Order: sequence, then C-alpha cells, then structure tokens
Amino acid sequence: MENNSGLPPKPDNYLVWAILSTIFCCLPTGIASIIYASKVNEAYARGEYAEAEKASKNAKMWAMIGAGIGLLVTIIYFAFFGFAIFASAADAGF
Amino acid sequence: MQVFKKASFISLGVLFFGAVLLFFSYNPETHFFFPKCPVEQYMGIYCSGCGSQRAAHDLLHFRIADVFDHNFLFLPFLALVTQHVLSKTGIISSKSLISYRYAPIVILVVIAVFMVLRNLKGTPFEYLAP
Repeated sequence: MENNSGLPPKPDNYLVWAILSTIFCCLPTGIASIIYASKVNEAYARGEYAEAEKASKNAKMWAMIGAGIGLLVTIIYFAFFGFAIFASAADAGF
Repeated sequence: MQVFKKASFISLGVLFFGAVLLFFSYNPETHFFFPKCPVEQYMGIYCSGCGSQRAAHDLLHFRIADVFDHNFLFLPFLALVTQHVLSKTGIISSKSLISYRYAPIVILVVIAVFMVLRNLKGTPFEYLAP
C-alpha cells in the first residue's frame, strides 16, 4: 500500500459494508461508518497504526449497527406482514 | 470461529436469494408490505437510499432506465461493490476500487451531494428524486 513498509498491514476499513448500508438501508449509521473508514486510511497513511486500528473498530461497529437495524426491522416487518404476504402469494398462484 | 463464519456466510446467502426472489416477485410501489424509508417518513427528506427497493425490483426486470430514475446511485454503487467482491475473491486481478486511500472521502462527497440535489425543487433535480 502506501509508503508504510514498517507497519503491519492496514486494518480493514469495512467500506463495502458502509456503502451497502448507506445506499440500500440506513443513512446515519452508514455515514458514520464511511467517516471512520476514511479515518482508518488517513491514520494509516500518517503511520499511526494504533489510531487506524481504533477507527477500524468504530467503522466495523457502525457498519454492524446499520446492518443489524436493517435486518431487525426487515425481520419484524415481514413477521408482522407475513400472513398478508402468503395470502397475496397464494393469490398470485405460487 | 470457522463454524460461525461458515454459518453466517450461508445465512447471508439464503437472505440474499430470499431478497432477490421477493424483489423480483413483488413491486414495492404497489405492495404495502415493504418497509418505507424511515428518513423519508419521519424527517420528510429523501436520503441516499430512498428508492433502492423500487430500483432493485426494476433491475431484476431489466428496466435499467427505471433503476436510474428511482435511485441514480444504485447501479454505480452496485458495480463498485461487485468489483470489490470480484477483486477480493481473486476472480479478477485488478485492485478493488474502494480500497484506494481517498475512496471513503470521494464516496462520502458523492453521497452528500446526491442527497442535497435530490431534495431540491425544480426541473433538473426532480429527476434525482426517487
């Protein structure tokens, strides 16, 4: 990566999860996750490994919160409307 | 740990195909049981994810123009995520685009600008609204 040959490899910034969560689900947690993702890159580029690792943990946490909320809401939602879905599926003929 | 990883991988896969089936079969616009975006519902503004469910339905029916109409960033970001996955799994040899140093900042700016523009009134902007 950047000129940090003395450092351990860059911690994951979980940017892909942040993208998934902002475009396909929950905005605030996704934004927080993207900001921490950029902090991972910046801190690592400055050679501050501990700082990068801390930002990585935060990026992961916000990505997981976003995914968790999205999943939970979806499950509750479809548990709630499950009967309606099956009824309408039966109507549609499958 | 290995078992946990395998289990979450499989459940993610099941969820993914379930979602594909659901979004293929039903149009979120005409079926009431799709969750509405909470940002739109409670704050009255469109966020960067608004329109994604409709866009997913459009994409599964190959209506590409409608995908862009419902959420302009849906396809570009889906392409980015796909390229990342292909690169990480070694299927393609090029480096993942979102692993570049300034990728998070660029993405943040793109999302912020997109979100502001799609909430503006007037002719060029209403095309960006979901």
